[in-house]
Amino acid sequence: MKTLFLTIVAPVLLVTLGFGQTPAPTSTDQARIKGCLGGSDGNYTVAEDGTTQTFIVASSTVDLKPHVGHDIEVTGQKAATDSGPSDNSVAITAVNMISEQCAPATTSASPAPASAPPVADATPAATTSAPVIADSTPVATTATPAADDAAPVAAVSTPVAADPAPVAVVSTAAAADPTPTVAASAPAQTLSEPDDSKQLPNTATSLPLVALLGLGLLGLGLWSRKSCTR
Amino acid sequence: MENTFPGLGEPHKSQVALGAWSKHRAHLRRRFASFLTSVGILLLLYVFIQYAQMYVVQRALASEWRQQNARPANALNDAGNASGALTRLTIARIKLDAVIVEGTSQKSLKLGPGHMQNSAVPGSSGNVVIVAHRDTFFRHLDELKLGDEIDLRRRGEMFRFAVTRRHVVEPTDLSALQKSPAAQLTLITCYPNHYVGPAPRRLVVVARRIATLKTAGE
Repeated sequence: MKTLFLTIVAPVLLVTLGFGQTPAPTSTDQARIKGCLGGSDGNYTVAEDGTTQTFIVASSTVDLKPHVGHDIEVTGQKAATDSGPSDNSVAITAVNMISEQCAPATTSASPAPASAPPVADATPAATTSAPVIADSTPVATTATPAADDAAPVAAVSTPVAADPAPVAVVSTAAAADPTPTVAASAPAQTLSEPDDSKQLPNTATSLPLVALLGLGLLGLGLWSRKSCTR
Repeated sequence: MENTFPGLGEPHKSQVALGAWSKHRAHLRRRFASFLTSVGILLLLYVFIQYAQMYVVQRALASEWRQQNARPANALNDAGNASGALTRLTIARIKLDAVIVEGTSQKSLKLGPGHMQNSAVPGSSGNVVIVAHRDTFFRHLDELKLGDEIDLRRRGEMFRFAVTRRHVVEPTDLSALQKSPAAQLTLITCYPNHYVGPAPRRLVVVARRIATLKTAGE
């Protein structure tokens, strides 16, 4: 009975506890962000210094307009999700200006109002000092005939105007804010330079290693039990 | 018959102690075996749960994506502005079909391929950077060849890319994240693919957009 408990019930309990400790997908907490303020007319963003994160900020108490293009530190309530299409929005309660110019590592964001999305990103090349990638390999320009695709095709090879960024969120914390709650449509690439991070994202998981270890331990345990019963 | 040699048929004290000790050892071994088995099962359960969670989240996202794309084109444009539109990544060559999550944190990457937040929005011009684990979604990324097609579907539109370059870089080489005036898609994963543990390098696949197709309510 004890063995049964050890082998089955205890692991299940531990796993259940592990699940219980998984944070809820959405949480609201106090945030202090230092970075460059961009945007206009109620749609403001802060590109955080030292990271690649960009926050959509809104405030009913603080006028952000005079701080556009400034390096600031904001304090407020942050609502963030870590699963699915994530959003980072902050309802600002206080602003502290650090410098009249943004740090060179980040560029200010200029999101347009939701009703008027900005026209494609011709600007990024101008705003970045990083050299543009020049592929030596010629691009295959033969578009696949629309007939190949099962879905009906209305137009082919239409350059797309900039889409609203997926970080578009509803700023719930700023309930008193009369401005539209949708803070939207900033092409993410205009927000910060990739140089912010020191490394490419870490795409290695420990899962295969853990699985191997688990299999090894299970095998060893079973073998050990068998040798005990002899 | 009377026993003339007292103590002959009884075990010696040291023998009794030895027997007790071997019993205790056997008991300890059994317990240790149970412990190993438990830990093994626990680790396998953990891995199973991680993959199951990824599967469930992907299914939910795919369902949401279908709902978004089932709307008429006009509604899509409005709704797309109001909330983050989901993007679906399809690579026929490696049989990959997954909905992209936002961000490249470890938690995000457990649920799906992650869109780098500071890169271009899928569907717009610029460098769209998507990152995923090599042991889940991008397991077969190294099988992509030049010219292979990659589709990004978002808000009723399909953006078709063709692979133009693939190369292996050090994690500190950030050239893959640089901005591009043209519509470009960059897929990044760890390399070597079958490395056990954190792989030391990164595989970068670069694709250029070759077509934009409007798809009606898939």
